[in-house]
Amino acid sequence: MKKNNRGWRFLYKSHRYAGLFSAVILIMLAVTGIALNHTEDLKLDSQMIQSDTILDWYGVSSPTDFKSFSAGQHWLTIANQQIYFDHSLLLKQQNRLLGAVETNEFVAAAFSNSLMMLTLEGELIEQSPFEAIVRIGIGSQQQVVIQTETELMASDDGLLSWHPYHNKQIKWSTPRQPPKSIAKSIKHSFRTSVLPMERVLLDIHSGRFFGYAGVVLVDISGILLILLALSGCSIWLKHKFRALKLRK
Amino acid sequence: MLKNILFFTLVSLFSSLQAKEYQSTEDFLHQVFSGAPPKPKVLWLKKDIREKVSHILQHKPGFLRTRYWQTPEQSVWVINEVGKTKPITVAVVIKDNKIDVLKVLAFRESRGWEVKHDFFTDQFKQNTLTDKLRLAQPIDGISGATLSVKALTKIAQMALFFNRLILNEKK
Repeated sequence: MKKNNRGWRFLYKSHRYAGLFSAVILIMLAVTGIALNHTEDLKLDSQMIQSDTILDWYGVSSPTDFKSFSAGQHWLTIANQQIYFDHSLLLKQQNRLLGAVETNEFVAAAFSNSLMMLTLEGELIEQSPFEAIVRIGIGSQQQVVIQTETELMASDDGLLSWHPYHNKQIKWSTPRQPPKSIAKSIKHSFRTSVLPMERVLLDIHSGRFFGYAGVVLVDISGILLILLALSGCSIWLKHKFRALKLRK
Repeated sequence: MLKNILFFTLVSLFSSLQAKEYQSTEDFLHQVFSGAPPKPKVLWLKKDIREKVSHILQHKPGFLRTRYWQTPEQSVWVINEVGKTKPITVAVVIKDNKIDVLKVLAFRESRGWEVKHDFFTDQFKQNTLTDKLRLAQPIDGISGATLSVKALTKIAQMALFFNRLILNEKK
């Protein structure tokens, strides 16, 4: 009889402490779980983490592939596949930027497999496929000149048609060091545009945010939850039977 | 170590998947125009057109002009629209104000690629545009590819709308 009481006492204590231990993690799981269930409503996938501490924790560094080209008064920069017009993010997930030029009417930027046309204010007019571009430049009559792997071509009708170009007077676009203010704001903008809130919440939910120890902790909480459910049911049944016995 | 794991997860999440190009625009044009495509023309999206395109897309268009290739019989439009995060490139051939062919030229998303198949794109054939700028015939969705289906539907609406504009210009 005494042994039996000791067993129940142990169960009560275990139930209490297991509950206390897993409470914090349970609340964390519940909060992150509810938030993740409403990812689209809360726009978690488009809200980017701005905190330097969290960005550092994830190892998000400044862009490694950073190249700028001047186009008249403006600067086109590629930072890890993101294209910036002066300070502003223009497009994401672009191929290699090869150069940019400014005509009297528009700005043209060349990528390895496409040509982009922008207004002088940096608004995208069009991006069209163009294979095997090597470099872009501007001719003596303001023509946009493209050197492909096989030939030299120019366009003087707003990038609609191309003809062979033989004039040697071409000012090729080459990478240049942008003004410090532009480089600084792009680097900051890049860092704060890669880590969505959804990713962080998912990592907190799974415990990965805290490393391997976090995953183990969440696993232990899961096991404790199963034990809590079993011990809770056992305690409830014990009380139920005792009540029935007393009634008899 | 932890940083590396987290950063690797992050990088793998964001790493751009290789664009799957099923057919180049040039090849498609050669196919449609039997090897002799006409010179491209452009339709500029003036303010009133932009408003209607915004209505179709449910967001502002990310371009100010679009190219098209036209003969007396047909017009061809190559339009990009983002499904979830990346643009899908679609070519639309229009004859007599009806869609004759709709083909996915490039699909860059990780999900929803089922929309490239003929069983889906054939639904657009002979579809027309209503006065409310909607497709006259409804398009059946594909579960798991909702956003891609929406993107293709919007492209079809836009192409029919643009075609209507260039025909009205001629009149």
